[in-house]
Amino acid sequence: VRTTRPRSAPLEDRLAGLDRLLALGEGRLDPAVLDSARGVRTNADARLSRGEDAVVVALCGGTGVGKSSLFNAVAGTVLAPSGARRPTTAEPCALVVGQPAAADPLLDWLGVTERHHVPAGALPEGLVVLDLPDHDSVVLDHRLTVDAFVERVDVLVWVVDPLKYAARGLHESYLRRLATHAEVVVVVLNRADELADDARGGVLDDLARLLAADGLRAARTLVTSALTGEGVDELRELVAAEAARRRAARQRLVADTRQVAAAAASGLGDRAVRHPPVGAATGGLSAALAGAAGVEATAAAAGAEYRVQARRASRSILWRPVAVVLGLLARPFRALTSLRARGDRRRRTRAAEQQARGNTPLSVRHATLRLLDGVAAGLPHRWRERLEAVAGAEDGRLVAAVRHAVDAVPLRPAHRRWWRPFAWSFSAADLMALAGLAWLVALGVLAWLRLPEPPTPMVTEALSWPTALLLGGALLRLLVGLLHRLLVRAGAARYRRSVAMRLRSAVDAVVRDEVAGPLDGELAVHAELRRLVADLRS
Amino acid sequence: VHDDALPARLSALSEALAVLRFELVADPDGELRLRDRIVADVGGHLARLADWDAPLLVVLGGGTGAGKSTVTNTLAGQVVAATGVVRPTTSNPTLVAHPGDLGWFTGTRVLPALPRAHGQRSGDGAGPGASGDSRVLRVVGVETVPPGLALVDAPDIDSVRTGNRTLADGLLDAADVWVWLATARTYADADGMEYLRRAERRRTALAVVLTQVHDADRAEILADLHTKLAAAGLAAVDVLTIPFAEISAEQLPAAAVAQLRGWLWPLAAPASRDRLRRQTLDGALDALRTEIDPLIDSVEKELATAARLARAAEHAFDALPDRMADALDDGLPLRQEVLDRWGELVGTGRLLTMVESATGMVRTWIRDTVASATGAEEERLQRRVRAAVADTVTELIVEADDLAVAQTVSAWRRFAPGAALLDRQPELTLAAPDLRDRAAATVAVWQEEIVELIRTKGAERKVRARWMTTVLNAAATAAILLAFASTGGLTGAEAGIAAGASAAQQALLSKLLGQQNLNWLLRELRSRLLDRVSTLAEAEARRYRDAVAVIAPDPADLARLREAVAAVDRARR
Repeated sequence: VRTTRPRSAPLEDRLAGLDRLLALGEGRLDPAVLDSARGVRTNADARLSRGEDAVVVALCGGTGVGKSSLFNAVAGTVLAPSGARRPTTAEPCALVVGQPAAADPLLDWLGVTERHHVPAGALPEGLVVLDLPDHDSVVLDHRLTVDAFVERVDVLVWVVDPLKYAARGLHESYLRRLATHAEVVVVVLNRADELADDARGGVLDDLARLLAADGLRAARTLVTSALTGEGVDELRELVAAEAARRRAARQRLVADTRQVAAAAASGLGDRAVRHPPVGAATGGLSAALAGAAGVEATAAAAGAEYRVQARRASRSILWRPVAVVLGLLARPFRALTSLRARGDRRRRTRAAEQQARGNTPLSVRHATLRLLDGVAAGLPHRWRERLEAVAGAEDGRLVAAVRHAVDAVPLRPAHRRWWRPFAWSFSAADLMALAGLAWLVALGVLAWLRLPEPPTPMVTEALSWPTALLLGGALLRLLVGLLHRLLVRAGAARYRRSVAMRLRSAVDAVVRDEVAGPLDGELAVHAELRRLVADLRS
Repeated sequence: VHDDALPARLSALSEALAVLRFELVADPDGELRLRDRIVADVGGHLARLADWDAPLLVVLGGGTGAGKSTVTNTLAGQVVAATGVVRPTTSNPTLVAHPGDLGWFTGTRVLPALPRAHGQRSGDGAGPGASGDSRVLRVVGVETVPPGLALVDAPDIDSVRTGNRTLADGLLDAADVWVWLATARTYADADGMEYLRRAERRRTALAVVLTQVHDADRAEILADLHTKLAAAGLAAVDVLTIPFAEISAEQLPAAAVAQLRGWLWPLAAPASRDRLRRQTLDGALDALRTEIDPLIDSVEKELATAARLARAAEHAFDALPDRMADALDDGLPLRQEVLDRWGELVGTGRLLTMVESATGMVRTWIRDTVASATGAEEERLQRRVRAAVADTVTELIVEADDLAVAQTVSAWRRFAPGAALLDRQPELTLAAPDLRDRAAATVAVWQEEIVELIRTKGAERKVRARWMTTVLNAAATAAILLAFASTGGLTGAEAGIAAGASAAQQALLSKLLGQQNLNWLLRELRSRLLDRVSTLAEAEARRYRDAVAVIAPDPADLARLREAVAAVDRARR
């Protein structure tokens, strides 16, 4: 008798893991896998709530292998009829040793009505042995009964005989699926008396090879003969030991969690590497969204606005009267405001149209596609679709969010302190020139009226003050104007850059919150599911 | 009852089956196995019809351990087949016949695919060790078997070695008579009863032999077996028994098989041979239609699958031009630098000066001189903008196509045969490798076409030959930009810039074409681009349709198969 005891998490931890798996797996794992996980969860609750002072050992196998004979041999008395007519046993039958509290609830749960009680003695208190119908006869009901018991009993003793140990139905429909349950599976080669001594080794080797192929290398095997009594004591000892240990129910449930985790693993893909944060890969999407929201054009417009504002704030006090005289006053304002209104109107219509169509610009959808190609690489298609939904590429929500964020960025340049001194300088220059001009004009008028010319103060011998004021004012205006132009151009460029930067970071923030964050979250769920599955499989 | 056309009709049916490949079935193994089995079965019928007087083929079938080989040895009176306790024992079938009849079996009468080996057992009868690929049919001549009868010891039908089952199926289909063996312990197994039901469906001549029967249980088991056979529709079948007996030298005592021998040997007579062979053949031919029906269903399902996959691709690529139109309505996403350059070129009116107007000689001379001085620069600018426009439109086409590909792939992946097809041809998950080149060529041709449109709408009269190319190309670019004006996300002032530029563009184009022609041109260039994109999308969709069409069944093949089945029925009336 071999026992293997792999280190694994206690059952309670595993069941908690299974609950988490069920919670996270909804919509992310194959519904069939989730169903079987729920089944395992239900079975575990049902089994544990009925108490652990009884261990249920079931004898399963094909018709004619001698289950009932073996059952009787273990019981030490004839409880189940064995016969020639096949299949013999139609109803499961139970042998209960002693008076374990759990026995009746368990047998009620299993649906076994025929119960034989024997006092503890040769067999330990708490042992429940079941004789099951066959799984391979023409009577389909028997197979369905067996299938239900295989899901629920604690220890599965598969009885085979020299005729049927290689039967396809046994290996393909049952043993192969119990590969995770080797700890609670026992394979008994009954009717050993039919084998000559020299033939026995070959058959046992062949059986071992078949079990290894089923993944049940670790399952315990016994050779018995209900007829000669060979091996029956060992079988009694084995089931007695299971009953005494009272661990089989938990072992079985642990194996169930392993089995369902193995099934869930295939729905998670084989990508084992940790995903880098999605944020590192969203550059293309940000650029596409920035393009769709017109970040560059908006920044250019902000630069133009800066120039207008700077010029307006630096105007000379003489500009307004001159403009009034020349009829220039309203033009620039009118032009700009009307253009703005028109642009806003068009933009709003356009955005409304797109929203109405639920339309995301081609470039944005394409960038999302490329992003997902990278993010979902190596994941099953179900996850890819899930990530697509999370990224919200198709629903237009993203573009709306970006537009909203971009609209929130202020585009009006704040008043710069250096604008005002330019206004003073321009005013001073204009006033100087005007004063000089007025003086000269006054001198001219006096000369024309032949009035005595007042003495004109001279700056130098060749240059009079009025001339100096006129020329100096004009020169000053030219120089300051040149400087002003240079500064405004540089300031506008800088403002344009800073607006572009703010707009881009607004777009980036939306991408981070609306795309990268949710995608990272979904990938984290995937990683957690992988971890859960790996833990459950260990 | 059948006419002389039957062999030809059966051959036609066999050919109609052989062309089915089931490549659009996600897991076609079952279908292929069934097809091969029916083809082999039909081949067997043809052989029967060709060699009507051949010895009656009796196949001993049953589960592993039923004693087929032991019974064969006993009937032969010598060890011809290996027996043993390791299950399953027999993987190579053995045919036993009178030495004078062996000639019938050297050809392709039975299981044409199996090579023959002659003589006594050569140690190849071992069970698990023998590899499944190198199977042979051993043919042994034995005097004890009456002429006109051939016994075949078949492999089992219920062990883990599925190859045995396939081989046994072939032998049982080819058999004229089944002798079905089951032990007293296994007679109620579902696997064996399934075969007996099949024999009932095909009305195969049959005897059921219960082996290893202890006298004490005999009556009870026989009664139970009769009940179970009756439930399977085989109430009238002959049930024989072989009592439990010690085996020595791989044979039972001769007396144990006396009843079976007494049932078997008389079958060798020509009259009973003819009767049994006819019964089995007629029954099998009657069952043929029912057996082929699942295959026809599968082919129909394949056709539906093919249509569904093709529809998914068409749906995605049909939407491509619309998607493109939407993108163009959002405006060409040109880089700001390109737009600035364009503003420089048209906004300042420099191009306009190249367009001749009906003014005096002096002004014309001045304009020409100015244009000469800046013409090379103008030419360079317009080329750059034109190239940028071409790149942008090409990029839009490529992106729209990528999306259509992704949409198709997604639709296919949701569907097992589609996913399998994509796994087989991973290049289908990407756009065609030369798509970008073809898109670029399409755009270039389209741009040329617009130049041509502007030229034919009366431009030649107004532009000096010297600047013709520059102005026409620039006008074409201007028309494109005007048609797909970027107004999507513009702020007020920027719209002003765009409006300013487009005012200059309008002026240029109006001058060249007149307002009415301009409106016509704008509509025309849009629809022409979308037409070309549609053609491109059509070609892309064809990749997917072709990929499906290559592996989808031809509806004509299905019609031929249906007709072949009907023709076989007609030949039998």
